[in-house]
Amino acid sequence: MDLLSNIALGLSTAFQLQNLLFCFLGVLLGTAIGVLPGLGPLATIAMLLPLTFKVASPDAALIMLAGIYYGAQYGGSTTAILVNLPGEPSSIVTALDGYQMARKGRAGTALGIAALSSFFAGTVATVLIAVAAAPLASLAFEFGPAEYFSLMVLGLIAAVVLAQGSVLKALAMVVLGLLIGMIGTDVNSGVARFSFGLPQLYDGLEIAVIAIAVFGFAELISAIEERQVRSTFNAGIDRVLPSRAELREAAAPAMRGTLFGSILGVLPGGGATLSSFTSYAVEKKLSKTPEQFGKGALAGVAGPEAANNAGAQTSFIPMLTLGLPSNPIMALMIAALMIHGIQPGPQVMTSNPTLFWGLIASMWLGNVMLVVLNLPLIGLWVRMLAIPPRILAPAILMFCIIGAYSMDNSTFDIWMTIPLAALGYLWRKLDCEAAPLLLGIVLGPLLEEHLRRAMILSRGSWKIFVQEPLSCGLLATAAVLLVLVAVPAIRSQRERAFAE
Amino acid sequence: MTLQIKNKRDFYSGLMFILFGVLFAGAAARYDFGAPAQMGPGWFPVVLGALLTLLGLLIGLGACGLQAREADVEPLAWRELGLVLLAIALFALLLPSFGAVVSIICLVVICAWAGREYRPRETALVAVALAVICDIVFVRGLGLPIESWPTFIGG
Repeated sequence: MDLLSNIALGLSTAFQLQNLLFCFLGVLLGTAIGVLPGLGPLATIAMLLPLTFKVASPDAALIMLAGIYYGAQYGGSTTAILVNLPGEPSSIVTALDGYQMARKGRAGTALGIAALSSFFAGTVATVLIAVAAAPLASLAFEFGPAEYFSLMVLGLIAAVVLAQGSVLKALAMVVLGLLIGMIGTDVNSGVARFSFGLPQLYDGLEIAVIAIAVFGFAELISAIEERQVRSTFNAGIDRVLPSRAELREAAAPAMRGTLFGSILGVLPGGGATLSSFTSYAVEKKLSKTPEQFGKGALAGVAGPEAANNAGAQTSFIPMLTLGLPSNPIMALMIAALMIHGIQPGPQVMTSNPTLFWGLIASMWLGNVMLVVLNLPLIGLWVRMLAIPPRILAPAILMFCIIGAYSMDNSTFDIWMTIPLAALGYLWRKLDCEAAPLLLGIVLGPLLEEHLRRAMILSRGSWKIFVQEPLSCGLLATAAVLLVLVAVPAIRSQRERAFAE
Repeated sequence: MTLQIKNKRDFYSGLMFILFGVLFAGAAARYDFGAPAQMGPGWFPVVLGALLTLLGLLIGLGACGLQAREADVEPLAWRELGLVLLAIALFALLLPSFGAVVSIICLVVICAWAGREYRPRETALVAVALAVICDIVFVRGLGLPIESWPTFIGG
């Protein structure tokens, strides 16, 4: 069977010594930054992106960067359970019941269930990617410029609708991102747009530099400003392996969580955070004892933990098969591919089979490592939390600055982070989400290119976007989504859903 | 009826989007606009800039509407913001000629200053530790083209 030989190829790639090493490094680093609040996977991946080019093959680089992303989900839930401090937004709901379990002396059980649910979800998601990738990629080959344009419009609209907060502001952030994406030389005419005569801007702004500034630096400034006080963990950890009865109790929520995560992860703007919130809400509705939620319900840990891990992994599907990012992390993955000279898109599967299948196989392998690693290392992670911010802040700052510098080995990129960090900080204060901006920046040039090509093909007739059935369907879906959020009744329901 | 700014966060966001929209569209107006069948380099950015200005207007007006939620903008921490940005700028300025060690010491000291916690011994330790990590990992390990020590000494 084709699938089996592909998986065999993937496993043999993932088991190569260099790749194993980078996978291990990725999940370890991912867990560490997942534990630490204030440094997320986005800033870490952005920081390491240019460095991976120097030390690793593209396969190993992608394997490591992916490991950081799903490793962070594990790390985030560890601190959520032990000290009620979600390291990542995707583990906010885990803290609700996980921390209550820890306070009742069931910290070990909560951690064990979280790890096993994540592992189960990770395994299912890996299989799902392997099965769904090939048909999706072959579908993508049928896409013309009009379809690509409409698909990206739908993706951006969906990302806006699913984002938290004001739809209009998120939409404006996307458009601002598209405009920032225009900076640099226009491929069709050779005109250097918005470059102020600076030759360093002819190639545009590096997405990793923007991510470092807007997410890394801006977050750091907020952290220094707030000087958050931390609770410490003092209760002991009981047995980590759950009993058979507990496993049975967690099985159904974990399976449902996997299902939600797998579906929501593929959607643009989806991914780990949305998946975990949805799963928690559903488990609470389905539960026979909803009053237990928030007081240490096992299902409130198992479901969201499965969901965030599944969501983190299936969000790779559109990136790998269509070359389109569904969230900012995937936008950075695309940047990583391009640094290594690989054009993202449906052809990656055939042109770089070891990269494609190796990455998928490594995700499963990384999940195994995380389960084996994490449970014995919990003590270490807890101790890491005790590092005060006054030590952490300069360290994060140094790594971020050198990360920005190494992008092009020039201080120009460091200078660029200064206005961007100030803007990122301002956006935080104004409640403007920066994630849609990053999607816009990556998709900007692609969107323009496909729009131009489609219009040349149609000799200037806008009808092409509605005459092609697939393109018309995609645009109609985008329009329906926009109309739906504009209807007041649904809008209030959406706000309530996010408030939960 | 007087217009009242209820949601200050939305109002200032709207202003910012209008500013960006006008700036981008204005700058793009200098490029060839072209026609739909043959779009010039100015077409897409001008349209997007206009769209951003429109969205900014909607957001800004929405903040003054009757149903707008009351929301104030938290005060900006100018001191912390300024000091961190200063630390970044000094790093960029010092790195090429003074090398990584001097730049890192400078960075750590400014960070300690921003955090308002003065522990000289700890600050010194952090600076030394980071400088060592930088030298081993970035300069020797990854071979980044940066010097650890000032280039005009020893050369």
